[in-house]
Amino acid sequence: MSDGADIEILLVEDNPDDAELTLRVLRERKLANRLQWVRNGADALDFLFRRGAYVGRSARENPRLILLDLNLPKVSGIEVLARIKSDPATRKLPVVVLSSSTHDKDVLDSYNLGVNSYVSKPVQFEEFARVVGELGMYWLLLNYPPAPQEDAR
Amino acid sequence: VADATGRLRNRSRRHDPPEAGAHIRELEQRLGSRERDLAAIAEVLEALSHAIAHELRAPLRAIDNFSQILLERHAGALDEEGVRLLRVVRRNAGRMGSLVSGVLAFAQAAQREPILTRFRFDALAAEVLQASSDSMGRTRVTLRLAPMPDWYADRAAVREVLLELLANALKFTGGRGDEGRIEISCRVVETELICAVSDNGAGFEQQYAHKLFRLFQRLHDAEEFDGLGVGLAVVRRLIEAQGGRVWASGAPGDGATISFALPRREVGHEVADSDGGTS
Repeated sequence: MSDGADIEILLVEDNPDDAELTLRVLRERKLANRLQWVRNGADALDFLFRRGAYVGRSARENPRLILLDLNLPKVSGIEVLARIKSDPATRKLPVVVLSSSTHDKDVLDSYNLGVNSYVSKPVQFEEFARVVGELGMYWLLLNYPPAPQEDAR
Repeated sequence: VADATGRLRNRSRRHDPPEAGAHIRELEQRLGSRERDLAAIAEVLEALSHAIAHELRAPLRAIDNFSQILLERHAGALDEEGVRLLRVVRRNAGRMGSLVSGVLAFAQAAQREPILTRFRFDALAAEVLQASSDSMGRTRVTLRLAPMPDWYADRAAVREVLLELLANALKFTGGRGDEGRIEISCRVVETELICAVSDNGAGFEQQYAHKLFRLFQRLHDAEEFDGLGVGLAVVRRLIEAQGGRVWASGAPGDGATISFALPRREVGHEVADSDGGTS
């Protein structure tokens, strides 16, 4: 989806239909130009920590937003979140859980791990477009991120 | 459950002579197996509600969203009948989404462990009235509270119950315009707190009263009043989980009264002494 330029959004979503819908909404808002979609938690960690298929990722900066589904194959969303928030190199990255679940335990676990926001993935079209669109606008345009550090460690 | 079992065991040890030991052991075994049954049921419920939340919603989202995209972007490829059929599909996807949400709300209410705190009932009732004020329209809502001591119960659950009962009454009273009346009255009768939400709305036939509290049971046509039949089923779960009970009375065209009773609960040993419950 993007070569060379820094990735702004990392979308971690195993369901291709949900990913397509999310992409459609972000594209309509012109927010999807620099988006990387990965389909499981292991790939998300490889991307963020420049391992595996992403060992040569040249981008200097980390994404400005991670949209994270919780119910993922291999490494779960909760584990991905735990890794991101426990590593000094990635802990400042805004992570928004975008999940079908509003299960108390999922919500609580996410906040305990330091999630930046928890959003319930709506079922209906108008709601879905509104929620995903507003999320993208808020985190990429309104939110003021910390300056990138030369060496986060 | 574990707490109640512990109390039972203590009680039996205190009152029974030593030769009853075998009998007590047998009872304990039976209790233990009941506890395991309950834990297994709780686990199934947990797995089911998780499955509903995660797994059933995703395909619904795809049906709802992609059919809408089809309608918006590709309607030209369909004739009039094709568009109508697609709208039928979408209407049912929407209905399915609501039903799934309803089942989930019910399952979550059923799984909820009551969190008991001591609170002022009048403050809670005022809070509920305030929170519902936007949806009252022209219906006049009055609150009648008899003086009562602080109550010990699951405050958040009681709040949800009152909100739901008020919303329910407002829905069935809305058609009466300026004539709409709702009264919430609460008082203590012996060892129970009894609350009744009465309205002069559409009412129902008394012979169906027991069905009101069942999931997805409705006594009115969807065209007349929308709704899923979830609210009162949730109310019942929340009240019964605290050892209380619910009931309803009404008549067609003559309003309805939905009531609940909450037992006075002991706060550790604090209230137990004054009640003379354990000594």
